Amino acid sequence: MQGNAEAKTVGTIGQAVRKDKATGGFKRWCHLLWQSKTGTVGFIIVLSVVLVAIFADLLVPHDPVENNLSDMLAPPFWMDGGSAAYLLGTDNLGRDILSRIIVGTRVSLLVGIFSVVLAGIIGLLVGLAAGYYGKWVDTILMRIVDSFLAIPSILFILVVLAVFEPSIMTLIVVIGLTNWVSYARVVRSEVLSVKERDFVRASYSIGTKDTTIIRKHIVPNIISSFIVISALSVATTIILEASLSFLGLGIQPPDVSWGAMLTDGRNYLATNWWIATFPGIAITITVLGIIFLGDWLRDVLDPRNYFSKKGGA
Amino acid sequence: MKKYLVKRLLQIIPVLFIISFVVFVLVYMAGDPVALMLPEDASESDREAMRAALGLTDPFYIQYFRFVGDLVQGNFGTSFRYNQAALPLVLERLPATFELAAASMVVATLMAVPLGIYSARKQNSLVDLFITGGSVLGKAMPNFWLGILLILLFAVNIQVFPVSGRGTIVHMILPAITLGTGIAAEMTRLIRSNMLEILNQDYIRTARSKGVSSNILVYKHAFRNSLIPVVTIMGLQVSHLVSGALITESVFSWPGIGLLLVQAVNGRDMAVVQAAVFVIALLVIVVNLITDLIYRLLDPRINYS
Amino acid sequence: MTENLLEVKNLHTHFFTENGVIPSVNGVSFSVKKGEVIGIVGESGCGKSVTSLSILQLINKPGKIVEGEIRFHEKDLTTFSEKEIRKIRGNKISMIFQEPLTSLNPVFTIGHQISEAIRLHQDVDKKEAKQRSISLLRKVGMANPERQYHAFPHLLSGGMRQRVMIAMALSCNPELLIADEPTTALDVTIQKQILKLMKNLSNELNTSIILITHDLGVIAEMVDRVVVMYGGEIVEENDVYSLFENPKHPYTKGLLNSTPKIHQLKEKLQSIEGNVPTPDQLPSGCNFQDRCPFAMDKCRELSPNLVASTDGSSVRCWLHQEKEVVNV
Repeated sequence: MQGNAEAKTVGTIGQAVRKDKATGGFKRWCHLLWQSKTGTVGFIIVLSVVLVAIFADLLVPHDPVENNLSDMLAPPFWMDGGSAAYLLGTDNLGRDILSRIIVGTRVSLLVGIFSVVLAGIIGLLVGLAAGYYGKWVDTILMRIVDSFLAIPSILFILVVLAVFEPSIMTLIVVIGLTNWVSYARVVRSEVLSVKERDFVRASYSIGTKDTTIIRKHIVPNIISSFIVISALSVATTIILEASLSFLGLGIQPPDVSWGAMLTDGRNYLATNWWIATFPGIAITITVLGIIFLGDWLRDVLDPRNYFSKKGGA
Repeated sequence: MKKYLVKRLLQIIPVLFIISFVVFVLVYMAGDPVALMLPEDASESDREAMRAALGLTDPFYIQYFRFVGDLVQGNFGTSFRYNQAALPLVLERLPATFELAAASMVVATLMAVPLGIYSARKQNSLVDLFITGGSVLGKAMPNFWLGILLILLFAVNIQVFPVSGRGTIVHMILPAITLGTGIAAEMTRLIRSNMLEILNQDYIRTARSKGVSSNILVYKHAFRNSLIPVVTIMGLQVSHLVSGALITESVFSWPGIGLLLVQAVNGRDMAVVQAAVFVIALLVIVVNLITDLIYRLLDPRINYS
Repeated sequence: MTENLLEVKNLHTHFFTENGVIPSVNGVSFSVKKGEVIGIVGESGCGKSVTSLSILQLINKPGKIVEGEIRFHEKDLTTFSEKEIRKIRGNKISMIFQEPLTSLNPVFTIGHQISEAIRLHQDVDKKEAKQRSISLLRKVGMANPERQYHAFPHLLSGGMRQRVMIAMALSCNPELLIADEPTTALDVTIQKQILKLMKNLSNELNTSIILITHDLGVIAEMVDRVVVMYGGEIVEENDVYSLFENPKHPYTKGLLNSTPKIHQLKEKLQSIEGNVPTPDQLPSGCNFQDRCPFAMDKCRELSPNLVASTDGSSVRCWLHQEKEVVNV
């Protein structure tokens, strides 16, 4: 689980974010982004991938799933025998690789984003419950969290995939169900520290509702750690989805997944290298973009970095 | 030390309990295995009889206790694909996986330790930038794609290594590099940040003020301290190692437990899936326990009592 | 007049950070004679520690000595190569740091760490180094040194660790010992013991000491001459009696007024208004101008020079500018 390292450092980030909102808003964020080269690159990559996914239907030059056996195994356009019709060539069934990569963004982002949203919601609820009610609720929930951390989540995922029919929905649910642990820990520790602060005790004493305390004091404090964990989770989830699809356990045809495209290409490595190469590049660039953006977010949202960047010793 | 060990061993029990529960619930939800076992023209009364014989008509909790009882005895059922007991099937694949895991850890350590230390010493230099960039790239690159690229380069284009299989040391090189690189990417980053932190410690300044040379400073004073987190880091990589092994074994048809598990999942061979999951989980727990013990041996500050 | 063992001339150490250059030490000059104990005082952030670290070139990046000389036995240490300066470190000049807890390497025994210092500079075998380490431990007052030789730092108390640091620093009979806040992290009773130990050992070995502290009580007890620093510069220098008797710079006066005196029951302890400015936020004119109760218009415009008077003292203040200029 990658969230742990972050979880430690992101305790009190909320304040800095709120300050940002108050003083700068959109312009200030743009300025901060522009200052970081990798952040800018990451942002551009992520934005492009999202736009491609949204407008995939308009962008595809060919039908991504229809077989076209007369044009099968066409090389990319710059090679002998390649044509401008198939910029990145075609696969063993004559399907346009570029079109399939464009459509593949949808699966990657759908699984990546929604599983992380699901994990975030579960983590939030579990963390709130554990931190808020304490005692045996906390003990039991944290034991479960520890157990999830003790063994690789891929094992749970595989058991689920052995039982249920794999589909985009199954993947979202199962990855969401195994990834909530890092969120739960952050929320719990934040709740515990907020509970100890005087102003929260004070608001209890005047009878403020639990939900109000959660909304006013806890949510603002965890939001930035959520953003940072989520960014990295989306990256790892995209790789995970691709890996599972590559193993034949994930997305099934006719849905198009970058990982599954690699499986097709594997059998043609000796003669048609492009089938396996381009989807891999697509995955790597997308993930790289998300990591860059995530690292940048971590840097700007961390109050320590925030203040040191503003100057002073 | 003994007390601690007992405590840690006791902590394994709830973990195993939760895994067994999750697995059982999933299998329970999966529904009726009888349909798969009997011929299609079997009558409803035959099915009923079969269910009763298998204990599937019993209440949920009784079925669960029976399941746990079987687990404790190492009885995971019979693989319908191989038509033999699942556990021995899994266990006989272990050496291959151990071999691959060990080789990749060696590759990862040989790459990550020198690279991490070097880039920490030359912080913000061009080489540091290159190494840090490489480690991010290594993180972003899916394991299986790296494996395929390596096959494309070294087994297809220049035919120096075999495409797949296990046997000689030559077979092991590409899989070990594939799996090792992914782990090295994360390790390098952690070792670098760790080393940077250590090099800023007061005791490093003290050593410098004594006249210690910068090589001894790094390889004796700092490295010994960084070993402690490095062991933890290696322990943390076990999860990566497991998921990486599943994929790498599949890419290279390496006959290990990972390939077996993936094939079993694909073929819905539940007995093998369960056996493999439990064996891997137990191994991971044991490895974590061992790293924890090594950690304690390395750091004199930790109290043994 | 005995010759100067160490002479720091016009030292400038700057830190080159992303946010610009921070001039932590700005033209500091002072000297140390053989066997002399001098004190450098000032609040934290005034450049004391950076000055002391500069002497042995222990400044880490992005810090750098940009100007000045550090003459030790007439040789300028700033021109030394890394290899040459290593022969000085821990051998001719050694250091003691503030935090005895973090200044010792946690994974090596204290004996190993002392032996290491000995073996770095003296041609002795392991056994001999161990013997010497044990006798050093005895010398600094460790009970049962043969056993303590094998102890790890975390098993010792703060005072004991600082004794180990002293043993290590004295292991090669240095000519100069730089002690950077050696007692700040310790209990008051332990402080006394450690100071006494340092004083006795330096007398015995005729070691010069540069004692860096913010504690004027420590200064009064230990040193012969005092250098007062503020904002990366020396603002006053004098022998210890004259300085306590007749402080000239308003900052020195402020420091003295904020120190409790037992035999002189004062109605109220005063503190200096405001905070120490960070080196990149110094005011225009005199560095101390914004906190100085005597500040005049001139102070806000022009920075005064360090002016020496005939009695051997010097001060950087417009209130005392009638004498000749010694330093730019």
